[in-house]
Amino acid sequence: MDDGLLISQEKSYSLSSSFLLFSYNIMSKILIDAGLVMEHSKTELFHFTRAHHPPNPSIDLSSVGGPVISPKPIWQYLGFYFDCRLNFNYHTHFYATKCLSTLSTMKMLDNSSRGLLPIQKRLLYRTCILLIALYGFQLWFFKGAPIVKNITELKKMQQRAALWITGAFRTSLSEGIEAIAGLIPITLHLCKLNGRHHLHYVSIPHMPLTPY
Amino acid sequence: MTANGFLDPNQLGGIRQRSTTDAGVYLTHIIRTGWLRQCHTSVIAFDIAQFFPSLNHEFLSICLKKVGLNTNVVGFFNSYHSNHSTTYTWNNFSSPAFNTNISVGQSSALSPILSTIYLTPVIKID
Repeated sequence: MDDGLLISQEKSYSLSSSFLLFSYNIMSKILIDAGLVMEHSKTELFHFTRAHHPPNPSIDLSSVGGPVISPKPIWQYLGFYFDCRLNFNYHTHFYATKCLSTLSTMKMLDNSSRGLLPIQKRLLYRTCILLIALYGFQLWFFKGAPIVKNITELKKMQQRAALWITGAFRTSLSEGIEAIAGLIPITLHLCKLNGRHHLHYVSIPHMPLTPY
Repeated sequence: MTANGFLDPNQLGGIRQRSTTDAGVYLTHIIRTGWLRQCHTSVIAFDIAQFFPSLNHEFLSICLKKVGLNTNVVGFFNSYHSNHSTTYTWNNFSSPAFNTNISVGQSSALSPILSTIYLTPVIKID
C-alpha cells in the first residue's frame, strides 16, 4: 500500500530517465506536502528491454537528497522476480527451489513404515506447496510465450513431490508416478488455472487495461 | 469505490479484487504493449517511510471532503480520530500520555481504505 511505481516508456533511455527523474522529484515534493516522506535508500530502478546488450543507465537522485540508483539484473517487486526480458526464469527457479526445500523438510513427517498416508501427503502438496510454486504464473504463462525452461523447473519439482507421495524409486517414470499420486501434469494444471484467471480478469471492473 | 470515482483506477493497493497478481499482470501488460511500439520501459519503485503512522488527520479530512462524502461521514471520521493519546512503556517506565494528531491505527479495519483515500489526490495529479 505504501509502495509506488513510476513508469516511463520511450525509445531513448536518456529521455525516459529524464522523465522518471522529473516525475520522482515532483512526487517527492507532493508527498512532503501531504505529510509523507519517501525512503530514498529503498528506491529501485529497472529497465525492461528486449535488446541483447542494454546500456542500463543509472539515475542520480541527489537533487532530492537520494543516492545514485543503478538497475540490478533481477528486480523483486510484489514477490515477483522480474528480469529485463520478462522471461521469468529466475522467478520460477526461485519458487521451485523454495518448494523443493519445503518438500525435503516434509520428509521428516514420516518414514516408510509410519507417518502420513499418501493421500494426506498429496493433500499437503496440493494445499501448501503447489500454490507457492505457481505464484505469479499469470505473468509468464500465456499463448505464444517461451515457457520451456519455466515448465521444466516446475516439472522437476512435481516429480520430486510425486516420489515423496508414492514412495517410489527415483528412477520411476515421472508421468506414471504422477498419475498414481493423483497429480495433474503441471502443464495441464497451468492451462486450467489460466482459464480461470482469464474469467477472473474479465470480471474485474474498471481495470485499466488496453489490448495489445 | 473505483466505479464511483472515489479512487483512481491506478490505485491497486488495499482494494478488493486488486491482488498483487493483478498488479503484476497489469505491469507486464504495459511493458509488452510498449515493446510492440518499439519502446522500452523504465520504472522507479519507491517506498513511503512510516506510512500508517504518518497520516495527517487534517489532510485526511480534506481528502474525505474532496471525494464527495457526506458531511456526517466526514464528521464521524474527524471525531473517530480526535482525542487520541499515546503512552510509551519501557520496562517499569511509562511516559505521560500525549495527544497524537497523526496516524491511523495499524490494527484498525478502517485503516486500509482511509489510507487509500489519503493517497487519491497524490495519484490523480498528472
